[in-house]
Amino acid sequence: MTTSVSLFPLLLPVALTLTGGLATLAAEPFLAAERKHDWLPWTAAIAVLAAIIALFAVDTGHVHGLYAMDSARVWLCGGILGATLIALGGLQASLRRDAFPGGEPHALLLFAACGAQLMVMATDWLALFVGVELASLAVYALVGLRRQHAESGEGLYKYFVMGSVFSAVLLYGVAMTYGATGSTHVGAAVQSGSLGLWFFGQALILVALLFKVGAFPFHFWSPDAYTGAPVAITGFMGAVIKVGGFAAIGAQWLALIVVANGGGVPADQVLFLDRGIELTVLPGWLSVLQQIVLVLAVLSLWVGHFSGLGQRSARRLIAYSSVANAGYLLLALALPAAGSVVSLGSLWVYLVAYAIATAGTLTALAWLADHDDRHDDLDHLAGQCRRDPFTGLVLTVFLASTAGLPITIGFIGKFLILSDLVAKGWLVIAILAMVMALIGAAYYLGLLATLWGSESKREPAPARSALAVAALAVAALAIFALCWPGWLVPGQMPGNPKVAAVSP
Amino acid sequence: MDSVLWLIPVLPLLGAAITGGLALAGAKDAHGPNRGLVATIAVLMPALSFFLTIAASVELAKHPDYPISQHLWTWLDFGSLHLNASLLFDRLSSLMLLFVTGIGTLITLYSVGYMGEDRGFARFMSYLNLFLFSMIVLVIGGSLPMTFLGWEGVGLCSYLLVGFWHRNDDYNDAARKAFVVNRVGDLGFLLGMFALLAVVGSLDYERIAGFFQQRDATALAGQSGLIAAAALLLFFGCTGKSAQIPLVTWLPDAMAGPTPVSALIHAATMVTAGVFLIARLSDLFVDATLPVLGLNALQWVMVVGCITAVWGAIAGCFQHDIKKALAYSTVSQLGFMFMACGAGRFDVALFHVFTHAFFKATLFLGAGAVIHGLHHEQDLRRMGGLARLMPFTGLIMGAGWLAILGIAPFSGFWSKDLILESLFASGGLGIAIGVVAVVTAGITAYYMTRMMVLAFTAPTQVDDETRNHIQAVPATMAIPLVILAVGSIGAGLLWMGLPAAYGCHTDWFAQYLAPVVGKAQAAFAPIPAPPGGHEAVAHGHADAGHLTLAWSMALAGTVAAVIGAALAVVVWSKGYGTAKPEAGTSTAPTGFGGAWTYGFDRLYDAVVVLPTKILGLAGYWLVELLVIAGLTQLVANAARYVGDGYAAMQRPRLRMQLALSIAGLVAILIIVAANIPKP
Repeated sequence: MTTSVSLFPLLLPVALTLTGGLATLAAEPFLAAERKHDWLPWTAAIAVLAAIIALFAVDTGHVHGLYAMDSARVWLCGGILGATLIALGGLQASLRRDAFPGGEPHALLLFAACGAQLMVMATDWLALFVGVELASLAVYALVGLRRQHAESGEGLYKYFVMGSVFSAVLLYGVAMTYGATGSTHVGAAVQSGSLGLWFFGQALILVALLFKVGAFPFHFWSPDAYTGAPVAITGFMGAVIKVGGFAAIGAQWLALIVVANGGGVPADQVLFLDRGIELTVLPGWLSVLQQIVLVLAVLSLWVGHFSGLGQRSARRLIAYSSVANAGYLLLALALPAAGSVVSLGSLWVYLVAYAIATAGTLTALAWLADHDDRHDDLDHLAGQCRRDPFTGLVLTVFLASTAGLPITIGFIGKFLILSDLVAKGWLVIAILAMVMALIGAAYYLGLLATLWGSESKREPAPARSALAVAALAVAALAIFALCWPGWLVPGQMPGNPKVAAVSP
Repeated sequence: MDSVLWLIPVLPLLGAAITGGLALAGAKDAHGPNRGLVATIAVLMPALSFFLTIAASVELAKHPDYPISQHLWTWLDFGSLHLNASLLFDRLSSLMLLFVTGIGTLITLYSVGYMGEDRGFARFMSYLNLFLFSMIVLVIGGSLPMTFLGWEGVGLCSYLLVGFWHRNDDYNDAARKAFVVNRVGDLGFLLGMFALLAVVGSLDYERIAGFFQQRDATALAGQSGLIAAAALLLFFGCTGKSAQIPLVTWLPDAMAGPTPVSALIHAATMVTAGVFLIARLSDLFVDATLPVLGLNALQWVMVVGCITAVWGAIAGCFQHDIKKALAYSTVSQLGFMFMACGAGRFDVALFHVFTHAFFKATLFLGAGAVIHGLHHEQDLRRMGGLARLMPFTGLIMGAGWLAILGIAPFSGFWSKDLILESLFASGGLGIAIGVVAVVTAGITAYYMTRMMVLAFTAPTQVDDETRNHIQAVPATMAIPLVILAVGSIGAGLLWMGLPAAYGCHTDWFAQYLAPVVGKAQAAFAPIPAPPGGHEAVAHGHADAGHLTLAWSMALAGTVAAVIGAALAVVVWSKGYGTAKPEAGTSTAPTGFGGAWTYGFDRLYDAVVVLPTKILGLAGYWLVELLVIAGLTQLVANAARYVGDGYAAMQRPRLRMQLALSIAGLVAILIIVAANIPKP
């Protein structure tokens, strides 16, 4: 039995993150304004580091069927905490540069990271909802950090209004699911005669989660919210919310398969994300859901890549890139023929690859974006890398990974998702995705070419943060090192298709 | 030996790291880093790799059927996908590596002389070593993903080296074009790899070969579509790297790079990677028999090779730039190699890769010596009469010229003859293609002779100033030139096509490769096995018909070459006459906009660039302008009429976005509701 005994160790990473957030919040009033951005980020960073170390020690199991831990969830929480660390560096650099009054953003960052980790670990719809709200509320506040800027207010307002609408959709779906199963447990067996209600509820939940990850057609908030947020936050929200959202979508997907097989997950058991589940039959309703997901994936790829091409603002460009990447991630949900094993390992790898590269890119850009992030457009970023070769180098690594060039983890992510797709028989969609990847590579590399170009319009504003330098350097190395996963992290990688439908 | 295999790629990598470090350290220094030190390391590392390759090849010769392989580490162990980082040293990689490292070393040595004066000398040497590392990984990789790493690596180095002199936008454009076109090809490579993975379940070469060599007819028939897709997609990847139609125009533009780069990367090694890959996967290509648009995979290879060969040869006739003439010739010769692959003779294709590496490197480096001697003049209209001014270079290039013409006993004769022979022997489509190939051989002789005549024997157009200051060829350049020239004369002896036809089995080259490609070739053209087993089958046998074919091809090839050459001499021996370029206009790198690309650049514009723009615009218009802005306006007006007063924060826009998202939600829910399962 792995219930209450392991309650504390399982939640240890979240608890440490939370403690870090509370500690920075409590210490904030006692620090002089000019010292706030020296001490608070480091305090927060130590908490995050402790949480990362704790991840190596946590058990596999679950807590009262509410939250669970397994190797895939460890990996995803690692991605979240890594992105948080990078964002802390970026936040320190830009807040200090802008002499931001107040140190609460650091705490908000950690609360959002807590929320995202809870989203990853949730095995109960209400537990998931708690995670979603915790993450969202903190991110709303972070998006509106620069209250005096109109675009910041606009971004916050849109994100908040749309976010609340879709939170309602999520709850509505959970309510229907509860009605159909008599439980809020993920994967609970459907009561006889309630399959229709349950299916409708699941569709609502899926849509709400698709909003959270910014897939077409629920992506309209993202360009404005991304542009409104400080550059350092843009990367964080793109990375962390996506990890949480897709972990929830993945859990839901596995639960759908369990129900499609005619079973259900008992209340004292949970679905582990690192296990594969054999799809014994492919019922019509699941096939419809799959078609919806694939169509949205292709549309996300299309809208994300083509709208991204014309953007001048780096933040908007990354926002559309995030739509496109939601498309790739959705492709990982494609189902094989009945009788084969479904495992979502490629989704998890891509997700962390994307999270680290995006957080890294935006943190590096925050470094270059001048006072109050006024100059994140390509005209003003041109040539900045030559003046700051370190930032240029790490940016190159992150963008190369996002573009999916070899010897980076981003390449492995695309490789796994697309090879899976071909193996499942979706060759045409794979070709389409590859063509899109080519266009995507064009704009990531185009951004790089501009950044390394010879013309430069302005002097770089002095930003300094030892934390950012350290985090960026480690993240850039990780992009390479994780490319050889079998070598670096044996046993840490998710994706074991040995069938184990439901944990013992 | 199997434990030090990894040193072969790592040594040039080390060289790249050290020279790169020196380049960085010496960047602030007015003279740059110590050239002697840089040159020593840059030449020594590939040379050591070359000697290691020889040692490994000797080791391999003892057990030809058991390739040396080294498992480095488990790269990915991911569900059913198991990838190893491993090296495979069999007869094929041994052969490729011998000339990649050998010619690589020679050209690095040549660059010491050629680039000695350049400010970026150390950087150049570093890139060159990095290129050799990538190329070695490409060849020695034990699985498709390893080859892909090298494949991308050589592409990157090619990009860096083409744009090495980023003096102006033309250089950068040329480099970018090479990069982008290669990425398009890589798309095919990756997809082909995925398709192959879906068929075989592994990407290790030994597993792939094992899978197809069983030739389990029912298993293959069940997946024939996927197998054909894999072969064609991988071939598409090869057209990118090896500059075949449709991904061809980047290669002539890539001549913007320094000449040693053109010789090494864009003639001898990288561009032949496509042929290597097809030979490596010969079992797959032979079994991809499902016709797509009427042709099976190998027939596609043959047809594409043929069209490219003709196209390159004709375009070669209209070049004024000595390097571009050679570049089109490379395109055309690569076409010949693919034709041989298409005829199911992978060993012949590789033999042409081998001889071509020698004679084309000779020609390029000779052209480099000319350019160097004339102080960076590469326009044929400003040359002429160089035979007297630089007799050494003339002799060297003469050897390369006779080789590419296919005059016996120079190396090109043997390989070109074998290609023609294998085309005719394959019958059917092969005969038609073979006729075209003979004509193309004649055109080849025409444009190569034209180039030689214009440069060396036509009335001189070199101005007096230059004539009095011809730069001598330094020893570092002369030694590689001589060795390569000897190679272009003698490399053909490795096959000895004619003695083979007489029944003396001296065709060493084919026997050498038989353990790798023999089974595929036997499966392609099943010949009743003579007592010698499959190795003897792989290179055919000497019956009377075969003998007649061999002789007639030798004759046809030679006659075509002589006619072409004679025609060129008649037309061009007077030189350009009045068609001289205007003073002050540099014709050499004129924008690298591919003169005589037969509108291929336009075609790209029409087929790739324009639709991309249109789709992009459509996306933008549809989503951003039409829907958001247009409807926003509508709603904004409506809101004004309703008069609910908010003006700030683009509320109408927000409403519109929210409305669109909810419309999406509703659309999805309607689909869902229509498909609600009946209890």
